[in-house]
Amino acid sequence: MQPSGDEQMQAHSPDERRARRHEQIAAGVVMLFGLVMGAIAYGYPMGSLARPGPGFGPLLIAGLIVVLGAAVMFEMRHAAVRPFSLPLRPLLAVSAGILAFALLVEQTGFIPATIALVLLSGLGERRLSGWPLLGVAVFMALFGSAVFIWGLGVPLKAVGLP
Amino acid sequence: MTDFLSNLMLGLQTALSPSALLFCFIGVTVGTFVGALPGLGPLAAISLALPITYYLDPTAALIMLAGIFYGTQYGGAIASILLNLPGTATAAVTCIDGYPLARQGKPGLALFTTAISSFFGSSFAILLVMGFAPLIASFALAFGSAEYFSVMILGLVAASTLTVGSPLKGLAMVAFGLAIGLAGTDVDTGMYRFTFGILELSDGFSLVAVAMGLFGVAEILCNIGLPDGERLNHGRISLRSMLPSRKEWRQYWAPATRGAVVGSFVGALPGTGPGIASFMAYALEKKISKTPQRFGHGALEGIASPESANNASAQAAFIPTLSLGIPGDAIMAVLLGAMMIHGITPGPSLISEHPAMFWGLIMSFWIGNILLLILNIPLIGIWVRMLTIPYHLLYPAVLVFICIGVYSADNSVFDVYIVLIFGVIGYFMRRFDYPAAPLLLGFILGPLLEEHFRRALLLGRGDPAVFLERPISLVFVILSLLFLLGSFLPLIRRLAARSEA
Repeated sequence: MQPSGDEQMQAHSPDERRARRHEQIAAGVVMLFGLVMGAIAYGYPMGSLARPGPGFGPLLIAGLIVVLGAAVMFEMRHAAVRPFSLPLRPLLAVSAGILAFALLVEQTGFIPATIALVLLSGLGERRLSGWPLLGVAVFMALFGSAVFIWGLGVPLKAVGLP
Repeated sequence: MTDFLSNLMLGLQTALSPSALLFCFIGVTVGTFVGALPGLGPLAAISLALPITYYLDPTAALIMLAGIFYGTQYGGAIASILLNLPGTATAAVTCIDGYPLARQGKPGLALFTTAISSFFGSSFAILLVMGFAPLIASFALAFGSAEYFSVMILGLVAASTLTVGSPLKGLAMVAFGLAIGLAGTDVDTGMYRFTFGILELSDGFSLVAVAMGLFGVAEILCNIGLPDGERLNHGRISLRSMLPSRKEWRQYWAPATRGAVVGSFVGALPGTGPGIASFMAYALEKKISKTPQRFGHGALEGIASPESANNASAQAAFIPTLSLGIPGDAIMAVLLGAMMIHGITPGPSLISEHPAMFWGLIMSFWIGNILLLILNIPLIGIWVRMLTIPYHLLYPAVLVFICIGVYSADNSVFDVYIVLIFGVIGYFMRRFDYPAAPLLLGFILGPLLEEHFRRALLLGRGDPAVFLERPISLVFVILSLLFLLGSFLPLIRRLAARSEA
């Protein structure tokens, strides 16, 4: 959360240039979001100052996002940056797990969806531990069914084919 | 005065009812546990519990959610002291002196100090809430749309500029949050905005899904692969080893009091939370100490003051939330969201319209804090054992809670996809140091902000000066500008220095 001094890099090292470029791209994404949003908002009725329409606020906010994105881009030319790394493995594993849950939960029921979620997302960690992970999957499937389906009455089947 | 007393009695009655007691107990226990677990913050815990509260009456729901919040403040310190891993962001400061103290073989003393400081700080701030919230609320009854708009702007500006990183990134995230909050049906005209033809979006994004994505999934994504904390072999922590000596008691009171004052002040400001309070309290303590070299090596003051401060600010944050309906930080915003889900409109009339709820909640703070004090001491052994659950087994289980929690909020698979999308967005935001709390605050306040903006302009016949002509609104606008100026001063100065060089 807090930028620590040792992560800041020597000025003008290749790493620093790379990190700066990444920061610029991130700020660019923010600006792009604002631009697209503004373009959509432009199609909504603006109304007048005395009676602002549904497009008034969105256009204002979109403009603000573009300006702030540009300001961040400018700031990042000189501000301290930290090296950027993007480990893909956790991202892919967790995404696959959540997607599997979403696809399965209403089709095959809560228990298969939960087991798929736990096993897939568990792949995100390099220190794999198969049996304990399977234990967590089974425990969460049963415990979750007990609490949410039988306890709180969430309208899901524990196991069920479509 | 008799009014005040009868209110207190009403509150006690509510807070002591069996269901309130039960949910207060559940709340603080879950809070302590989640707070102690590194990698799960109060926001994730509250968003997880949010769907469950749909089944409760609103007062019990609020008591439980609030209990989770201040419970995490107690629990956060445990991981800081024993593992040198802050259980919550607010407890990061406690690592600095708490962990050295534990290494010196006094983990019990460090834990006891945090428990008692937390209780002290909370008590101080609860008294302030009892005194000030009704006062501010009666003052705020005269607020019109212009005032509401300006005070919300103040809250958003404060929340985004008082973060640790770049204030520009904070402001950009507030604006991004406002944008996300726009999706759905426009209240005034019934027009669909930014729904892209998706039926599920006609009510806007689900608060639970957005919050859990940004604070639950993103947090997990960032934590996978991090090394587990160094584990101390503390053996058994006996009650005797926890009690401070007389000399240590004397060392303790002044810092705890200073921490409580700093924390209450910071917490009551809109937009600032316990994290900033504990950092400020620690810095103050180190500055005024005659022996600053002891800090970082197990100084008792370095634990007492920030722990008192972060609990005081957690309680004081309820002042603007309950009296104005303006949340101080993202956590308060989620609590407000919970009230709205239960059909209660937060605002200055809350206290007069729902006295049992307001005073019940306040009195439950006392009960919750006493429970925490009693709970914490005998249960420390259990918390320590819980901390030894390896993260690679814990996070898949947490993901299950997130997915089923999000699903059950609205029985909607669509929301599970949304939680994934915001999880990924939140992950990238963290990697690039864009703060997520201002985003959530903007998301929750956005619709309200737009409504008051339009209404104020309508009443002002289209003249934007309406926000400056009304004196109270003007004060908020000036304060917002001061915050902006203050946070950009270092940036401007740096640019000026560069152009001179």
